[in-house]
Amino acid sequence: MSNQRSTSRDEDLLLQDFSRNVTTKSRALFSGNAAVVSAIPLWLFWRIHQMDFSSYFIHFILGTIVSTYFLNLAYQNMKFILKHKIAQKREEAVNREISKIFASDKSANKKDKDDRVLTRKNEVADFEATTFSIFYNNTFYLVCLLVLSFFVLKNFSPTVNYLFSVALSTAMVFLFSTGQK
Amino acid sequence: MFFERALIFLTILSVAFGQTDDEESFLFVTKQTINRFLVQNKEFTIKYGLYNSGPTTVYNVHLDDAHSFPIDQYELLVGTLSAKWERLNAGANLTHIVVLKPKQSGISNSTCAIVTYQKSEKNTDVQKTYSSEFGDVYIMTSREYDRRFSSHIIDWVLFTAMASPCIVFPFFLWFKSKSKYEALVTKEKSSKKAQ
Repeated sequence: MSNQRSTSRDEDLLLQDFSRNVTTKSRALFSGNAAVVSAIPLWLFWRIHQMDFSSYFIHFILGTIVSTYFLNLAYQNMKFILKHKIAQKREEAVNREISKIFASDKSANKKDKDDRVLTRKNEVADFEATTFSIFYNNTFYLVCLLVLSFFVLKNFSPTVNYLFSVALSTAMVFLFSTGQK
Repeated sequence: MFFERALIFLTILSVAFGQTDDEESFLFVTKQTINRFLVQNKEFTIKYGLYNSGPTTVYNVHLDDAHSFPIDQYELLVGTLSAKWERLNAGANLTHIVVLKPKQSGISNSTCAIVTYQKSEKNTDVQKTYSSEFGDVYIMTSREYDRRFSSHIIDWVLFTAMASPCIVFPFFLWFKSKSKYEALVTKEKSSKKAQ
């Protein structure tokens, strides 16, 4: 019985490790971040390109929804790719951390320690992958948007400027997140 | 002999009279704007230059340009669109400045100013001349002008303040975790080397 339980627990851990699915907390974090980062450039378009909300609210809403959705996907893609790389890198460090904790506990067996190491490694990799993915995608998105809107598409009409700069920068962030291995 | 002398005398007389006709003064009038861009509800300046190109003084010079800038489209701020001067000496320049403010945006056609003057004090015949013109001008909206030329420094500062937490905060969290675990590995490696 206990063997079956521990096997299913190992399987759960493996599934969690290799799954693209994110937890509810992670999903909320990604969605919130994507929405905020998509909304912040509206300030620039309102103040600098003089696009008032009453005339352009449809464009703004559409652009924000589209970029939020694809930024969310980009976060998840990049997190999945990074998690495995980070997990491999942190294995040794997490081993040492858990060994220090278990050094004082003589009753603990190797199996418990290995489980603990695997869980902890997963947690650390998850955390670092999440934060790095958010940081990297946010920076990439904002830099692309600023370059496109204020240099490349500078002399186009505000509508064309907004729609193309948001669409192109979202597309670049999303495609880059899927392309990495 | 007498006939030849009379012919020469008549020729000299006609040339002399002919020369006085060519020596009449003529006014050259220029009209230009000294602003690079015309913006709705922002002032712009028109400069009229009058130059008397002949050897004689002209009198009762009257400049009229009210037809170029109708009151429903332009607000007159400084100067007058209808000006008079008693005389303009030979070879002298005269400058007249008017400051206006356009009320509407779009393409505006500016026509020539009309200048009338008398060639002599006694002769009341009025000579009419036209100034140069600067043709069609585009009056941009103030929104477009702000979009192109305002410095927007405060807007950029506020944008940076709003965007920084989205970038700095996740980076800080990631870096803190990375440093902690890398330090664990390097610390162990350095303690093993010391042994």
